[in-house]
Amino acid sequence: MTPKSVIYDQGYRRYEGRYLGRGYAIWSLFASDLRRALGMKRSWQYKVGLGILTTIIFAQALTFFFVSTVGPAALITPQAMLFDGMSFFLLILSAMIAPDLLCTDRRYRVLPLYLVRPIELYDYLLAKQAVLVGVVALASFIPQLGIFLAKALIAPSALEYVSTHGWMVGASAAASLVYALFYGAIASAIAALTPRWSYAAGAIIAVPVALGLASGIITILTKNPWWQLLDILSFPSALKDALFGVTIQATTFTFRMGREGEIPREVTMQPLETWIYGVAAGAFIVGALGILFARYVRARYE
Amino acid sequence: MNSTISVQHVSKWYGQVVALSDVSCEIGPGVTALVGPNGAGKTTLFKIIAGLLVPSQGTVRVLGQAPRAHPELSSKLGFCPETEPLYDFMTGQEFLELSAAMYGIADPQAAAMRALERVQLLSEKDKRIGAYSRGMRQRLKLAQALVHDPEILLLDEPLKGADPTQRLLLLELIRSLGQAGKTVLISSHVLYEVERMASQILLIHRGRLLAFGDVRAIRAAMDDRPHRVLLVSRDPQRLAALLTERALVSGVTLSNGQLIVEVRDPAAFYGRLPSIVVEAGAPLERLVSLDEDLESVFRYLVR
Repeated sequence: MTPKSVIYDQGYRRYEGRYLGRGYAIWSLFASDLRRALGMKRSWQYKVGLGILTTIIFAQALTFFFVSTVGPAALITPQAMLFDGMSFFLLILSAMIAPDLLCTDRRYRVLPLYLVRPIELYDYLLAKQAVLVGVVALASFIPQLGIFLAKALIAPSALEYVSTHGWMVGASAAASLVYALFYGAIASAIAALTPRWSYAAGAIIAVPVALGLASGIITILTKNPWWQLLDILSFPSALKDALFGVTIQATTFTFRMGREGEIPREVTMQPLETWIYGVAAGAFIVGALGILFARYVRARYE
Repeated sequence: MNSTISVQHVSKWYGQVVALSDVSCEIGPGVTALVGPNGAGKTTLFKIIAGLLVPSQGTVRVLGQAPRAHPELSSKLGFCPETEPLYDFMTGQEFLELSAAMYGIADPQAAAMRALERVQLLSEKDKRIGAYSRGMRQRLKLAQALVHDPEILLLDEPLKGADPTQRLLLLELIRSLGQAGKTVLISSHVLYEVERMASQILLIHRGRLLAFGDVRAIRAAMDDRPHRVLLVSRDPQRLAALLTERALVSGVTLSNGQLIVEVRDPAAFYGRLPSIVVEAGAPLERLVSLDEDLESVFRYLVR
């Protein structure tokens, strides 16, 4: 038998499928960034950091649950107090995720590649912001929901507990969203200013903490309560308290002045109205997102 | 020519610095090379066509539409920038799948595999990009521009860093894309490679368009520069004398038995050369045009 061979020239093979639109592109970017934020395909250091933070947040939730179950009645709304305990760790979480999503893209110079896809600059930033806010909000809300469900399960009547305390789930969800939006805005604005992950992460933690310290010192020295607004981390906290119906008490500081500490001083700070914190938080979020967008409008041309 | 890219009086300036000045051209299917020294404005032109930059003046139309006003146009356009915009922590396949999905391809995995196969990176698909060699990164960069099978490809220095074998592969690939009817606009510093793959060139210098079209046509249009032709004959003196006598050449150089003549009117020269050779009684052994290549054109224009 004669061996036969044939070469089939396939020529250039064109893509004959459909091109899905802008929504699909944004969703693809969101999904990819969500995997990155959750540590998939990331360095072991990132995974360990994320694991430690998650463990701390859930350990706090567990502690608050036990204390509120067997402890004093003061912890009747453990969710509201849990926010105070975990807010700093939520800030650290934002400081991990935001630079990873924003600084990394600029450091690897992939921004032009994204922008030649069928998305606009604001789509790109929307996807990044959605991942950041989504992860922080979930990290905050899931432990709250866990406490609520656990307390409902051990209550004499789960149904009665849910009907009387059900509003707390809504309050927790709203407070989680407030924290996530606020921290997301701070973290994104700072991360937009540098392509270096470490600088951004450090600044995201250091700037609010430094402002908080400065606020405390200036407020005590000047006795002017408006300086409390310098403590930007108090904005979401004040809104959270309002959502849970917690009244903020006046704070009294006692300290001694003079070379020998011979002059006792007492300063009582009255809290500002909740609506002031609401306005300040809104203005801060808008301002921070404005910085983020303005920085990226410039970055697209670099 | 049916133009797919139309650039009309485009200028771009950054403060006092003029990156592009009144550039106009119509680019159609096939491979067109954008040639010019560093800082000529090539990357700026690429970015304007890709919709990443807005021209300070003038208009750009890609498939009849303004690129920035029509984001959907981006699915018909592939851009390979000069920089290396690749995530070190992703694998080649993951990066291409993300690229394909961002372009709206319904099956990103299949598209990624096709692109990897095209640039011969299939065997390296699971390796992290951080471990890729420079040439492999170049190929991956090209693959992300090809992954959605665009009509128009903008390739800014795609051969940079590739070794000779990879250059050959990429040259062949780029040429085949041009033959498949794609509009490929490519920039490169290696002129002989450009000449091998591009049917026409766009020569740009200090932001101004110096020449556009077929290399030989551009050379022919350069009246101020006589064409240099090498003639090898058994009797070069006689041939030189006859050519000078008939005023077909403006200059003659004779060295080591080789005759180099400077020709002002190539059409008349080549038309009458056979009869002069017969008259000289010494057949021509070699005839080489010395400055019809891209390098000469480039040298003459960018001076």
